[in-house]
Amino acid sequence: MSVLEARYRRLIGFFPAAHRREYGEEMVGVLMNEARLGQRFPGWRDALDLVRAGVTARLDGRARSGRDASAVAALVTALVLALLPIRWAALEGSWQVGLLRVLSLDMMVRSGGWFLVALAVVLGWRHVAAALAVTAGAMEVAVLAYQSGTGWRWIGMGWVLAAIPFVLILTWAAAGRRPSEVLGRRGVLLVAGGIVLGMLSVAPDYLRGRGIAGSPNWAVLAAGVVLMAAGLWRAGAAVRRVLTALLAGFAAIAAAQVAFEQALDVQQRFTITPGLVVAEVAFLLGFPLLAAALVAAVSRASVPGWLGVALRR
Amino acid sequence: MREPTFLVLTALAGEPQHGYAVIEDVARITDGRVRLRAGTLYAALDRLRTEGLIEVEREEVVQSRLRRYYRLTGLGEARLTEETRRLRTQATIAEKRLRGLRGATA
Repeated sequence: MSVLEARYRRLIGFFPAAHRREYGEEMVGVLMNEARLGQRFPGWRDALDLVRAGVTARLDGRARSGRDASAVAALVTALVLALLPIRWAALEGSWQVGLLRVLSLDMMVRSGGWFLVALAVVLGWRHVAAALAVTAGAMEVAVLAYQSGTGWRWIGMGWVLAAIPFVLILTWAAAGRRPSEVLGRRGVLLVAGGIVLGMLSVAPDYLRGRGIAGSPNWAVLAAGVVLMAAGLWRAGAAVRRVLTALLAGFAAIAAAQVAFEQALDVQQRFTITPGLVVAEVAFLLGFPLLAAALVAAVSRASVPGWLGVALRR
Repeated sequence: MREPTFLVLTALAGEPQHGYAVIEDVARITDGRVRLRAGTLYAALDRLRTEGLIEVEREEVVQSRLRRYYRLTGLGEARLTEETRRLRTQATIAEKRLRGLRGATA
């Protein structure tokens, strides 16, 4: 390899790895085709063009991964929120009572809103999905406000309230990208099926006449997790990295609620103090950010940054 | 549609060509005004392939260098037709107004 070719290859290193694999050899061919005899340094216009196009391709790729991951994460989170209230029906003693509970107004209002959000996300309707997420969020708040009981219901539902803006941001960040464009139609069905199984893994207990279910049916839960993972795996590696960080952040919201209630011994408290509310907000904000950052850092550690690649080549 | 994109599609509307031939062809089409550089060209080719406007026709190895020939797809043809029509409409309007301008000053 000539000195000039080696220098051109170093400049091509500014492009994303996938682009280099696909076009690297061709680009070297084109660049060397134009080289003068005995030329040792790349022309500055060519050099500048390679750096500019390479960096642009990287930024575009990153933006595209973010959009793709957001579209899938928006679907997942909206479905989880839609199934969340319904899930409690499974805890009733019989299916008749369970059905009544599902058909109750507040249940329909809470679930229905998120199902519509999920539908709009599937269709890639950005504005509709975002508007519906705002509406569904408002309905969650309305149901909480009109429910009887003490202020503790707000504390207990804190994580759902925290999840609402999360879903809203995802529907917007998806920018009209359809989940089926990322996972394929089968992938979307796998993910949706997995979530339904996972969320309803408490249900089969009373179908078998065991009465009120305590713990989930582990086999059904495992099947749901496997289905969902199989669906999500169909996204490309770059999208998968962002997606993992987003879903880890979402899961951490639920974990934050549990951690908060245990750390502050909420069950033993009688009054809601401002300190308690502040602590809950801190948990609900801190956990997801920490989890997402951690997952992002771990997945990035295995892939060197673009500057590193460019300098090393 | 940006100019390099339009020119690459125009070049490939002739016959399937490899990267270097596209650069030469675009220079010919534009009377030497535009000489695409490798970075810009391959960014455009990649985007056009992703959007399904062009595809790889065949691959060759010439002097131990990979050469891929790209060609327009049906979708690419439709988009180029549409863009050409748009440009022509605008050019016609400009022409008409310029004629009016000349008529007024004469």
